Amino acid sequence: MSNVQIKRPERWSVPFSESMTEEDVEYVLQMPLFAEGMIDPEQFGKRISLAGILKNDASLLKCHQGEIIVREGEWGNSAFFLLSGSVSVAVQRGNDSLPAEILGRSNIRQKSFIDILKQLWNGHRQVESRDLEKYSAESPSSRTTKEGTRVYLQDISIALDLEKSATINAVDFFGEQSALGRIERTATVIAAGDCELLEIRWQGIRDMMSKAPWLKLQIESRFRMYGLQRFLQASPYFEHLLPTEDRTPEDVERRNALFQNVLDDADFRSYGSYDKVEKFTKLVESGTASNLVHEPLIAKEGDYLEGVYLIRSGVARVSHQAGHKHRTVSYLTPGQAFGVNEMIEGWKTSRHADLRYSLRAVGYVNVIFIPARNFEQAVLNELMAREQSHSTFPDHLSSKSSDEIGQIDSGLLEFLVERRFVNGTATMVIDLDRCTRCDDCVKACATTHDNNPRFLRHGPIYDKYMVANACMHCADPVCMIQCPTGAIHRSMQGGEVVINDTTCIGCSACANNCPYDAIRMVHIRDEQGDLIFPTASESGTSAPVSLTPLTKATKCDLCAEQITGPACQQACPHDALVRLNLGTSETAAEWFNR
Amino acid sequence: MRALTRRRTINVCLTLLVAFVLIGAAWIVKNTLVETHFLTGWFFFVTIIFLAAYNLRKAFPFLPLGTSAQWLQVHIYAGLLSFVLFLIHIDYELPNGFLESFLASVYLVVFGSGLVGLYMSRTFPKRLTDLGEEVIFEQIPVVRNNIQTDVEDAILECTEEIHNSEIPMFYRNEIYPFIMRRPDRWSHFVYGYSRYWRPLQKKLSDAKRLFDEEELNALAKVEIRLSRKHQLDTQETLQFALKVWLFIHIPATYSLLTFTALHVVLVQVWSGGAL
Repeated sequence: MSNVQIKRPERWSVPFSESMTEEDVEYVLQMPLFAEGMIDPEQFGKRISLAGILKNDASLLKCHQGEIIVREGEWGNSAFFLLSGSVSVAVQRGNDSLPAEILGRSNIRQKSFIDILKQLWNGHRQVESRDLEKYSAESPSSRTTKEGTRVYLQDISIALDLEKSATINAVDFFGEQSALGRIERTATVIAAGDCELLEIRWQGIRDMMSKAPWLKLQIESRFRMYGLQRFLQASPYFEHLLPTEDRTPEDVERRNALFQNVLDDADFRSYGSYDKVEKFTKLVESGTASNLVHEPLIAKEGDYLEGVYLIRSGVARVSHQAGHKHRTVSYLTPGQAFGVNEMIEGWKTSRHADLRYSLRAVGYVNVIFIPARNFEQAVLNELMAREQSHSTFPDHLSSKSSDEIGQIDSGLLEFLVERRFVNGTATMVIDLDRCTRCDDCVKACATTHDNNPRFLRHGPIYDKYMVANACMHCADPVCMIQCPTGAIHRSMQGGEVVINDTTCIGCSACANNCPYDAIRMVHIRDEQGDLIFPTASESGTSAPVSLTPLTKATKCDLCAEQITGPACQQACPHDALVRLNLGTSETAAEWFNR
Repeated sequence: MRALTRRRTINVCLTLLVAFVLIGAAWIVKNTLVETHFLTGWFFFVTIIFLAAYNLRKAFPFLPLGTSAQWLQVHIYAGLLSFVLFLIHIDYELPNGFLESFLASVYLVVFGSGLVGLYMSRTFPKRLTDLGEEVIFEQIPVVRNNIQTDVEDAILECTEEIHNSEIPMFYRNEIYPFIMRRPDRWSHFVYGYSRYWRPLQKKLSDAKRLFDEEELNALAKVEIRLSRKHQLDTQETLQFALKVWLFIHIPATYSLLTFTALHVVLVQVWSGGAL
């Protein structure tokens, strides 16, 4: 038996920021947020003290005017407490957002037919060669400090339309909704002047909420006011409660009241470990991933149905007791609901219904729990009455299991859920019974991407299906967390996760965060094929300051610029390769059962 | 009916319909005493050019010309129809001129290699999937080399740990030749296993009677690796076959195009009053 011993890993074995010192903690504790009692250090225990949280879960940031703190659409696991100064929030969304170039993103434009033809003679000769002029012309300004690199705007007043922006002054906080809910940042925040911020990772916020009633109240009220309301309004279950022009004022008022009741009684619940993205790969390797004890139980088969669970973020496994274990029958992704069928059954028969399946968190899941009484009043009474029959609840709103819609083979389903491939919106699946291993997909990818394919035709196999090592464009892209310049982002046009080569600083944060190893760091070259080295730009000399060549993160971009779509899929002669959105099991099942 | 089966049924029915129409039309035109060779010849030539264009399309995946799978479907069924056109063009008789005979032979090589390729691309992937482990063709020599090193290490370990073991001698006489042997391609291609595999298995089985428990444990490790090497050889053979048939099909297609062009020129020049 081995006698090797190591120290048991603890909550704070790896601090959020190495640069946070004891002096910083002392300094922060003197700030009004803590000194004036909003968050009282006395309320915290000795084991998880406030000073401990600040030392290990926080980072003190000093930002200067124009520095971008968070960007709309990016993912983050932290919230920001503004200790001094003020920040501007660009409240425009969607098409009115700040220009992509300002935020350090690429402005993806689909090529015109002429541009497509130009590729015939304009393609790079060398592998991963870059047009060096592009870097100097398009690079946004950035500052590097001990906390990392930040992109900043040269003139904030020009970039930001003051009429469409809001200001947050000290003492206040922002970013907590996306940190706790694991959803995209909904706005871009820029330092309006010199300011100090305390960035706290979600575990710290969670612990602080449990000891600071003021913070808990603030976060919960903001969540109900903004996050929950927006989520429920977007849910198809409640769309009939939204005001429309053809309704009478009384009807609108009645529906508003029903919606408000739902809003007041809905409960936000989180399950699973938030930031252990690498853990599931270890579980799979050790062969214990199918043992569902690793997945926190959200609702248990056979239990009394207390309400409906709406998935807000993450993926949940729906399983059924089979022998001594559980068989996966379906999985749920954001927007989908659990318990609706049982709720309808109970409502029709006027008897209480038990849950037919269990629901478990695969990784990290946020759910909105709607109590049965609210769901019956706001949804069943309204929709069933509207349809004039008890048997005509809208089909698209019913929850379906694989048994009911005869979809994906149960073993395949287990495989896809176990390895979290269901997180992918464009997962590359290859039917090995049709694939002749001709590598036309790889060649096509290389032809459209600097002569270097952005994926490996290799990966885990179940039966005749291989999930190749290519970016899946996850619904929950953890690769975006920690990118210091916002280079990796979701394209506003098609939603693909793409990397802006110009602003990528080659830090490897995205590659290290991707649990599927779908991002590769490559050395870049000039048109002659020579490696490119960093120069001391600030001193103005062109001599290399490092013997290590410049690296850039590369990954599949779903050929976002090509009018033909993904070249790999286009190039497969045998219909063996497909980019599947596994978020909707019905469309995936159609391909698997073709 | 599943989507792929439905597609195949529709395509086969359409191809048969077009083939009957072509044969019927050629028969009618011929019976009206109109010269059909020029018409069918040009039809045939255009079809061959279109079939050959598929390879060109593969080189430019970014051009919006339809998916490669759509092209392949058309390529397969147009290729089958080309045989009907070929038969009509040669009047269902073997040509007797030198160039014509040569041209017909080259066409048959192209058509035949296409059929073989179609058969292999529809059956070999399943055989490869059944083998289990998936190794990229270019990496097979590396993996095989690793297996060889693993076997050697296991034998050396066994030599060091077990005194007077018979295993090294068995390795030298029986295992080493198998490990070093080039893949028995023909046998793997046709049967899916090497001619030398079963004899080796038999020798391994026989030899086990002579070994003690420690040696048997060592041999079991070696046997797993030998089985993997054998499976890798099958995989290499099948992947090689899936690649190599194109080295016959494509050059033969270009030869066919060249000589058909020559044939067209000669026919046009020497047609006399037939045109």
